[in-house]
Amino acid sequence: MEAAGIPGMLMTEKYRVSGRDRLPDRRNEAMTETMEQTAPVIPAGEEDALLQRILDIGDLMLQSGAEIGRVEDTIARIGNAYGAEMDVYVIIYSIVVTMQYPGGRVLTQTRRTRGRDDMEFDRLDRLNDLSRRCCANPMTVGELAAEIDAIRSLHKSRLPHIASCMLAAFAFSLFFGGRPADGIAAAAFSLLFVLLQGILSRYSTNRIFYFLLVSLGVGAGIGAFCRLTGALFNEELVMIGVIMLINPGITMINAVREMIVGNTISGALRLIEATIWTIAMAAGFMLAIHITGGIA
Amino acid sequence: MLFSLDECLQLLMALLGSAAFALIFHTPEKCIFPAALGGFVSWAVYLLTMHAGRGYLMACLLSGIAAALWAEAFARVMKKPVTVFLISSVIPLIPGRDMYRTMSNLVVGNLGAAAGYGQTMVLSMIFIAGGMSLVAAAFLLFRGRGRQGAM
Repeated sequence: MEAAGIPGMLMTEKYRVSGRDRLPDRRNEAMTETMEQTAPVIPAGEEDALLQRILDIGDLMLQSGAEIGRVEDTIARIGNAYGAEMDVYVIIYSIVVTMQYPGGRVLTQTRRTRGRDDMEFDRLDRLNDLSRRCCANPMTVGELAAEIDAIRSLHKSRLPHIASCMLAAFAFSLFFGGRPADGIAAAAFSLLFVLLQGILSRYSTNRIFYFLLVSLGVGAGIGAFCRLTGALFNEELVMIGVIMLINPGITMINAVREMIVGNTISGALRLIEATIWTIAMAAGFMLAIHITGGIA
Repeated sequence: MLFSLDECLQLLMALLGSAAFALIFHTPEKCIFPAALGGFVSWAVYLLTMHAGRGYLMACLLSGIAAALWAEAFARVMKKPVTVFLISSVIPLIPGRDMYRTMSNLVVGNLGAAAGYGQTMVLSMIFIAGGMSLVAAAFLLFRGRGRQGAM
């Protein structure tokens, strides 16, 4: 006899206890509802392809800035809509999914994700919408693939991005107490930031060096500029305006939030990374101040 | 006046800054204004809490809660993910000045001052995240079965 609530601590005949027996798992409740209707079964040969597409969705969501809980939930709901029982585990660098079909077939696939901390809310919204539609009316694997490709190839022009970076630098320079002149200088140096970001994102896969080099470049530029123009600009406030664009502060806050809501591994991982990035950024700025201090 | 002139400027810039970040994050067009307004609201709560003499930690906590409540409300109204509104609303709370002062004090060697600003920065972030998580936890408690709403 197995006491509910403490599986694994008693010696029982069942040596392997399913985790699902332990706690009520909301994720599989939706499956029960679907099974009561006629769950559409996709062709048997396409189950692997379906799982690949589901992993695509999860991967894209992570790249767009979704929380871990949301990604796990979405993957589980989509799988349930196709009639499978889902076991999903997501951290920022990996997605592991096992689907168990009613006929007894069990599939497991993993996906190594890039772990970037970008935010693309338009894409996230479309993926969320796609998953909602797919759960309501499960699509064929081909349709799902086409939808995912359409979302993946959404093209964003650069000009609005540059303009918004300038506006953000201006706004936050004034927010922290700068005069309009400081704000305009911050906006101008945000262009330098965008340039460096464009170059380094393409050629540098190491994010630590990205932060170091970007802050070195921007810091040196601002430092030199402020030395050359005398006391016209407040160096601190110009820098703060641009730092708000670079800084991993929001990443840190998200990391702490992940830890508190229960995804401790992902949260701790991202927090350590963000801390290292902040140190790299600080080192870049410190080096820049040393260099430009030499110019004065 | 509820807010001084400086603070009115800060509130306006918080609105503009959150709007700018909403654009950077490619927020869907209909959601940009609510997201920007969320930044305004969260900074307003921060200022009001400081006026009430509660200290910056309580201010961070309450404004984190306010931002998260705002984001949850609009996520349900507009049927979009919460993250879309939440991140933009929290941007003005990020301790940018503390971060800069920590770094610049480290450069000149004032380790004491650097530690002080660093501590403020870290604690602010923890309390903001705490406020956001409290609201997230509260909504998870009351989430309906199989509800495919804005999560």
